Amino acid sequence: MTLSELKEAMAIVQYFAMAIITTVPGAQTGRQSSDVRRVANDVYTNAELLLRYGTLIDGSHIGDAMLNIVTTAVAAGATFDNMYRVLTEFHNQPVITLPGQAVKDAGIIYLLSALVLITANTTFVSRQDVNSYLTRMLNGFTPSVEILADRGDIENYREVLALQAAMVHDLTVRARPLPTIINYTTASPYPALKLANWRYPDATQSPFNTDLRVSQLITENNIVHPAFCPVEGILLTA
Amino acid sequence: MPGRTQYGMPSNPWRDRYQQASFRGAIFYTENDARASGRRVAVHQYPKRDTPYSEDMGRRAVQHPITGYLIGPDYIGPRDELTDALEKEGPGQLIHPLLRPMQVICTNYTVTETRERGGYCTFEMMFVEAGSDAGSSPTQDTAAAASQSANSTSAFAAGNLNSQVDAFNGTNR
Repeated sequence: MTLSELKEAMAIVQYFAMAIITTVPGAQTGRQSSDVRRVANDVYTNAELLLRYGTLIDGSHIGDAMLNIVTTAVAAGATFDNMYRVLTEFHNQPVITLPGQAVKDAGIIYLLSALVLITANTTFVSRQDVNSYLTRMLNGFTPSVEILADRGDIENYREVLALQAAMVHDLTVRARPLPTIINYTTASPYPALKLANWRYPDATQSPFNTDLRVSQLITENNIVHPAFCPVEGILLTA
Repeated sequence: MPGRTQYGMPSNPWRDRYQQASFRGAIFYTENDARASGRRVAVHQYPKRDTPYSEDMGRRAVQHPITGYLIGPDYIGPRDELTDALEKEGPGQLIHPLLRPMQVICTNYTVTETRERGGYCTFEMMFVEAGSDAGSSPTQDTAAAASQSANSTSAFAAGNLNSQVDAFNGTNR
């Protein structure tokens, strides 16, 4: 690896490590957040050694070390929105050399995997909710799959494609039984309890979670006082 | 204008379809039979509201109440075969005289023999469609499958990157 190649790959690794820290909400506090900062800073500091020698004294390799940051961030509660933002920004990182490209490709695959892990652990409320995730996931996957296909990276291409298929299948299957969101209109501001009884056969519980229907209405519509709901709003069909 | 049979008689399509009734292969003759079904509806009625809401909960299971009989000097054997078939566990095939064969379960039956009518017995049978055990059929945990795929993909990418960096540095692992 030449010096210029090393410098570029190092910059990519360090950018990746620092970006992942920002995916965890409240990243400056808490035990799990400190774990993310620790592993990310380890990689940031040792990026040159990892890239130059492939492994450190403790036996960690560059691929595993980068993956460890993402895994720790997901465990610490990294959000979908933040991870998606990092993926979009990471896509735009310019690379020229082959080592830099290899590191970037691996980083993108880690981020896609992290997004799939986050969605797999997300409980969805409505079909629109799932569709919004699915659209963004496909927007994240499409350029990655195209780049891998163009480069002839058969093995990674096959893995990413299988991951995309598993993600689409999961979201499609889980979206099927979920209700959709519709708009409601009333003649005058009604109490939330009346709205819930008007729309649902059983206003005391939701079939999909333990929320009261009234609480759902109040949360979904940002109702200030539950006795006076806005005349136009949204609600779940079931 | 109805068609004609080869003997010049008016054809009867229903008679052409008519077949020997049986359950699990045990034959019987039918006096009368019926089919009963519909929709399961939960009617919700609300206080201070004139319009009810009838919630459709799905199709009602099809039931076939059938009155059958067996007759003849040797009716004892077919009678025992039919009672055995009706009491056997699980769904069985019902050949209805005019309907398509179907998988049903006999929920109850009564066999009646009288002194005045020797060599003759009647069966009052109630069949209900067997359907399928959809409620307890296993479904794939797609979220777990996606997580597993994510973990294997990232592990594969990590191994790939390790090998590539070794190759760039001219070292072999």
